[in-house]
Amino acid sequence: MNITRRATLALPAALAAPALHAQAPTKMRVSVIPVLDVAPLHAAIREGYFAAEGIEIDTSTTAGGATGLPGLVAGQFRVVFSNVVSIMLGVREGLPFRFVSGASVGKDSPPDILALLVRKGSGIATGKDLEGKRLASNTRNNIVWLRGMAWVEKTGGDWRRVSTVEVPFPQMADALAGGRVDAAIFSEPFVAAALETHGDRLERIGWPISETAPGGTNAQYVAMAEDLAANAELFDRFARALHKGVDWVNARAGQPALLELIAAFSRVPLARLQRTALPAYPKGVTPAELDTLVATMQRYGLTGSYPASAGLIHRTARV
Amino acid sequence: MLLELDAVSKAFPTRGGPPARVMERVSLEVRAGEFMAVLGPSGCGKSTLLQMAAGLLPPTEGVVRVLGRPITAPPPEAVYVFQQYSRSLLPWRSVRDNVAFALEHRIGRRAARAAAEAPLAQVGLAGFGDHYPWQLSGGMQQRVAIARALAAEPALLLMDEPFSAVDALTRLDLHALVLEICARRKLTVLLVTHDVEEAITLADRIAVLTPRPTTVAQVIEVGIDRPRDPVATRELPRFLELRHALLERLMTRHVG
Amino acid sequence: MRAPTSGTWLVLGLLALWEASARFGWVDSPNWPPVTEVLRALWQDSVTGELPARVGGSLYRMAAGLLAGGAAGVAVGLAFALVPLTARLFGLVVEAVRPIPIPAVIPPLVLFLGLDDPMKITVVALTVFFPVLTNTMQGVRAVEAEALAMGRTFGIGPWRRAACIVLPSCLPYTLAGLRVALGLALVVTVVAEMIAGEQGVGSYLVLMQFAGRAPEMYATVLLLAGLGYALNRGFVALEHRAIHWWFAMGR
Ligand SMILES: Nc1ncnc2c1ncn2[C@@H]1O[C@H](COP(=O)(O)OP(=O)(O)OP(=O)(O)O)[C@@H](O)[C@H]1O
Ligand SMILES: [Mg+2]
Repeated sequence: MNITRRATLALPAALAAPALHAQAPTKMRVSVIPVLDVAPLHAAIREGYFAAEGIEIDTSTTAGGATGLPGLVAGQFRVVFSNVVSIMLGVREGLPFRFVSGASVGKDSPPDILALLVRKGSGIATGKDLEGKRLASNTRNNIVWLRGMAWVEKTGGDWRRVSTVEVPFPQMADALAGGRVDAAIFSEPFVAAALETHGDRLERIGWPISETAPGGTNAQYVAMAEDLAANAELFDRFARALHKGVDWVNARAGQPALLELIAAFSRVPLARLQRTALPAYPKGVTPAELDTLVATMQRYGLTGSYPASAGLIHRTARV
Repeated sequence: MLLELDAVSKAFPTRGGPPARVMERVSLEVRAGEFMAVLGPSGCGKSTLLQMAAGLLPPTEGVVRVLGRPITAPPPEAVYVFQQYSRSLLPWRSVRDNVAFALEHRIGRRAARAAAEAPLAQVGLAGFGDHYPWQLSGGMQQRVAIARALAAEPALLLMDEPFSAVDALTRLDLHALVLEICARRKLTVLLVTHDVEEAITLADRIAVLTPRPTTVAQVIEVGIDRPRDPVATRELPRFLELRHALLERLMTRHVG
Repeated sequence: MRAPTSGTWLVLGLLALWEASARFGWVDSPNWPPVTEVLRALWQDSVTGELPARVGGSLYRMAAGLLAGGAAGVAVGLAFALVPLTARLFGLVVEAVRPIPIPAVIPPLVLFLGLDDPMKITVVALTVFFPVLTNTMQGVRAVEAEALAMGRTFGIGPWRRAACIVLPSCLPYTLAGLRVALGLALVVTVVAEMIAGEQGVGSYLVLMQFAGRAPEMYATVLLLAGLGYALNRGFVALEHRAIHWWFAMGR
């Protein structure tokens, strides 16, 4: 309801947009998580790419993905950054999410942005060893969990016999070192943090992305289908600015400027970022990557009928 | 006639049962300028009677008139002085502001404060204006309540056992105060009490109540000259005679 | 200067224990930084102006919620106690809403009010409303019947009686409710800020958690503890000033 009201209000504004840019920037509220994946968005904000398109971005940080997608449905956000599994689960339930842009994918070879850590000397090295054990994931049924289950199976274990415990990333290292879980799937920069601070007690036994799905899809930006249909021009401008941010980030891969940008918005100490693995930052989303993901989801119990991938990708993500 | 109770009855609703008839067709007349005492055993309905006279409690049957006019709300001529003085004083106000409270709504705060000084002096509390009620003794608190009543300059003062909660010496002191005030001002007083000596010391006439359901058993002329002294009055033959008759009457009623 | 009380010594002792436990590795986790590092983090983000700005924002939201919820609590409490019809009409609704835990009302509030100040202030106001309401009703019931009758016998009208007799005599009860509410309000403000948005101490706490900056996290915790303590002390001081008579009477 909120969306449609906003859409009707925004339509004339969008038609008159080119003339209005200079005076009245369109405000767009974007839900983000304070993680490395959103570096291009912050680059585009800081470099003034959004301003140049007549857009003012208002980021809203949420502690997990939990309020992002429901907030999109409720009309609290225009765009939401989310992991792909949560997005596809919403789509499966009939929610009209459409991909506006890619955000992050894994790299083809280690280091990954995800890592599986155990206590040193625990004797756990494979998925087989994890059977009957407690594995921490930040949430169940998200991309982190999915890659973890794939890794368990790939290394000879039965994923159904591993019990998943939900532990927020910031508390994972303590939970693992303290023996409250037997293994944990960390996402960067928490991998670097855990090894930096608990390096004497923890060790890495797996790279869940590159060992099971090299270059696998990770997270995207989505918006509501009706909003995209009614304000296509606005979202064109949004994606154009965001993708300039992607270019800015990719042009500075491995350079201090990028890490400084990340340190500024995430507040992660610079020294730790230098030991942190970064994802690849794509602009687009492909039907093939979504099809592969859906197949993986079906395999690990997230069954159901998913609509055709191609129809979910808005034109701004077809690059 | 300043105050008339005309065949006034009062019944309180009870849970489930029939209404409790506390008072049965009580008629009483108080003339302008006189001091009338209502004497009755504890629990017979003295407070109920006085509250109806004050317009604070509607009678179930009968009419209350002030200067001939039937009343349904507190009439401007009358002021009620409560049995529980400590509950009727406002603890967040100083003594002066408590007295001024009787006037503020009519003449404004500043004027009311100024007007509070005279009644305070009259009850012997000059210099205590800045104290709070809870800093004073019980007798002094009752004086504040009396000063507050005087400040409103009522024609009719209705007093509900105002001295029952203070010690015997303080009571004599307050009797002297009331006698003096009544001598000085043109006040009509209706005083309710279960203290026979208090009634004789202060009143011109005494109405004796029966136990529940209450009616007026008798109205007696005191016939002791004024000015009276609360100590000396107690030794007069008329005082002793009245005391004897009233006590006997109340006791026999009690027993039987 | 007054000599430190035994309570002060206990706090200092606990802080020393904290410092030692982190310095000597009794608690061996990077997420347990020594208190001196925490204080340094507190100092650093204070001089940049970031923490003061965030504390200011949180205090603003808290104060707005306290004001709205407190005013509503007093108004509804007075209405319920003085006009029985209102209690019969709305009492059930209030009693039905009261036991709902605040986290459970947040999703519908987000749906109707969004993620900004209106939602956060409403969450605080709801938290404040109930203790103030209950206490105000209790306070009105405790008003002396004699005091009200006294007002009537002096010919004082109902509004003035409400303002000059009922309100002051239930003030101690309302303030006691408000004091309870004050403690809850700070907590709830921070929790509401943790849900979403970029403002306030709550969002700072989330940000620092995600950045893995333990000293800053604990700096926030210390700051909130100090803030809560100061607010309570300030409130008690105001309370003693406003209703000195109540305390003097030994109630
Ligand atoms: N609101 C009420 N509801 C029911 N019964 C009442 C009510 N008020 C008074 N009564 C009853 O009426 C009777 C008279 O009460 P009242 O207070 O007038 O007595 P009293 O003569 O003033 O007593 P005391 O000497 O103790 O002051 C008592 O038996 C009391 O129980
Ligand atoms: Mg009585």
